[in-house]
Amino acid sequence: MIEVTDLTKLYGSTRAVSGLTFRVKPGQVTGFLGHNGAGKSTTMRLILGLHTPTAGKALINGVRKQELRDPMREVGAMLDAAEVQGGRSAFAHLQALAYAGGIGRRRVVAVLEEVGLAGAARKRIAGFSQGMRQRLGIAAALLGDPGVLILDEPVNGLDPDGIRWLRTLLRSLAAEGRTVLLSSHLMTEMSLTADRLIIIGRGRLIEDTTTADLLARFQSGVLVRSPHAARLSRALEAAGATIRPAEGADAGEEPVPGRPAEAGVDVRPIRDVGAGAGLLVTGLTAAAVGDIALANGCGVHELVSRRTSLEEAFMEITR
Amino acid sequence: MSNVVASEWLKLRSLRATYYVLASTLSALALTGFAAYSISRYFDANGPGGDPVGTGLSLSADIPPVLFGMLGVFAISGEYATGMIRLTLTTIRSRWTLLLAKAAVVAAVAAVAGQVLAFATYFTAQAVVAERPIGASFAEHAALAEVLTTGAGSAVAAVLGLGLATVLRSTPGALIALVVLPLSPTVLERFLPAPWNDWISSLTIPSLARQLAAVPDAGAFGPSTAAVILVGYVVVSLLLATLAINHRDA
Repeated sequence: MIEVTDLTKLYGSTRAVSGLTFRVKPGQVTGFLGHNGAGKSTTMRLILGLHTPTAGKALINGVRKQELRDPMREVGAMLDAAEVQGGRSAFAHLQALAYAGGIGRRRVVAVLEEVGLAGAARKRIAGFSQGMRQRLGIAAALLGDPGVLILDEPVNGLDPDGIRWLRTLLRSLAAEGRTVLLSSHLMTEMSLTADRLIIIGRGRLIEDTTTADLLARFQSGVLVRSPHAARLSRALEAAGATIRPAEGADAGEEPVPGRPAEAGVDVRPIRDVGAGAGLLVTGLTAAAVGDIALANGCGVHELVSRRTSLEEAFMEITR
Repeated sequence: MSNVVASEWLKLRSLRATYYVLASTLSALALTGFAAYSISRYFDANGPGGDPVGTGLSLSADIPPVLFGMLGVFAISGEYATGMIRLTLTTIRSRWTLLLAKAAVVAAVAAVAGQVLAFATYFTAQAVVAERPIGASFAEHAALAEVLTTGAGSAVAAVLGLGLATVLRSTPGALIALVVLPLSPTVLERFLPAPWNDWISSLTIPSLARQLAAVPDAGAFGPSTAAVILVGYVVVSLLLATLAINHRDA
C-alpha cells in the first residue's frame, strides 16, 4: 500500500508536485500517467524517500520509506535503468545490492533467471542494450521479493516479447497481492496492464479511477455516415444524443491507404463513402442509431462503434 | 551495518578505478628508486654532506595521500555521476550507514595497501642505497614508526577523499580538491608570518604522519597533536559528508 497525502514539492520556486493525494492499493496494477514534467518521477522519488517533501507525506505500508525496517523486502524500485555503473557485471551489480539487504546469492541467480539475463550475468553492464538494462533494473527491484513495486517507465526499450513478459509479470505480481505502481507513456500498453489509473498534470491529481471506467466514459461514440445527415441529426438529437461532425473524415474523402491517420480519429478503411456526411454520435449505441435511421427513412452508408483509446482519453483529460 | 559493508566491499572490488589507483601506487616506488639512486650517485661523487635518503619515504610522500584519496573519491563519485546512488539509497535504511560502510571499506583497503606501499618504498630505498651510510634501518629512532604512520596516513586520505566526493558530488570537483588542498600549504607558508607558516605546512597528511612518528624536524606538532589532527580530518570529513547526504535530495 502506498499512501500519498497532500504531497507538495518545490524546487526553488518551481512547483513540481502540488497537494497530491492518492492511494495505491495492493492486489492491482496501478498506472501512473502524466505528460513529461507532470511530476511522476518526482512523486516516485518522494515516495521512495530520495527527496524530502516540502509539505505532506508519502507512506509505504503506513510509514515513511526511511522508517522501513527492511526496505528491500518491503519496496523495490526502478527509477531509471540507465542509472547503473557500467564497469560491473550484472551479477556483481545485483549481488552488491543484495548484500545490503542481507539477501543471498541464490536469490540473485533466481532473479537473473526470471528477467532473462542468466546468460549475460557475467558480462559488463556497459555492453548491455537498453532492453537488457531495463531487465536488470527490474531484477534489482525484485531482489527483495517486495510487497510494493515502484517502476518508472519499465517498458521503455523492451522488445515486443519483453513488453509481453513484463505485462504478465506485473499482473501476476499484483495477483499475488502486491502493490504495483508503474508509469508509462505507452498508453496501449498501460490500458492492457493497469487496473487503475492515476493521472496527474502539472503536479496535481487529474484522475484517480479504474481503467475500465475511464475508457467507458470516453467510449460512447458511434460514427454514422448518411446521405441524409441533417434529417438524421435531428432525429438522433430528439432521441437524446449529442452530435458532432466527424473530424478528419469529411464526406467523400477517402483516406489514402498507408497515410497516417489524423490524431484523434479511429482509423478504419472506409470503402463505400458515397455522399454521406460523417456524424459522431455520443449517448446512443450503434444499434439505436441504426434503428432511428431506419425509422426516419435515412440511408446509412457506414455505422461503426468508435472505441476511444486510452491515448485519446488521456489527451482529452490532460488538455 | 555489516550487510552494507559487505555490499560496499563488493562494489569497491568490482570497480575498475580501484585497480587503476592501486596500480598507480607503483609510481611512488619508481620515484623513490630514482630519487634514492640520484642521491646515492651524489654521495659517491661528493661524499657525505648532501641530503641523506633516510627511510626513503619522504622522497615520494606526497603521492600516496593523493592516490588513496582518489580511492575514496571513486568509491562514491561514480554513483553520483551515473545516478546509481538513488538505487543504492532505496535499498538501505539510513544514509549515514552507507557513508560509514564506504568509509570503513576504503579506509581498510587504503590502510593495508598504504602499509604495503610504505614498506615497499622503504625497502626499495634501502636496496638502492645499499651499503652507503645515507639510508636508515629499523633499529634507528622513528624509522619503523615512520613507515607505520605513513600507512595510517593513507587511510585518513581515503576517508578525506570520500568526504570530498560526497560533499561535492562530482568526480572532477573532488579530484581537483584532492590535488589542490595538499598543495595550498606550500603556497601559503611563503607569505604567512611565523609561527603560522610552520603550522600550515605541518598540516599536510605526509607531514602529520612524520610528526606522529616523532621524526626529528618533521613539523611544528608533537605526536599527540598530530594524532588529534589526523583523527580530526576523519571526523570532520565524515560529519560534513553525513550532513550533505542527509540533507540533500538524491
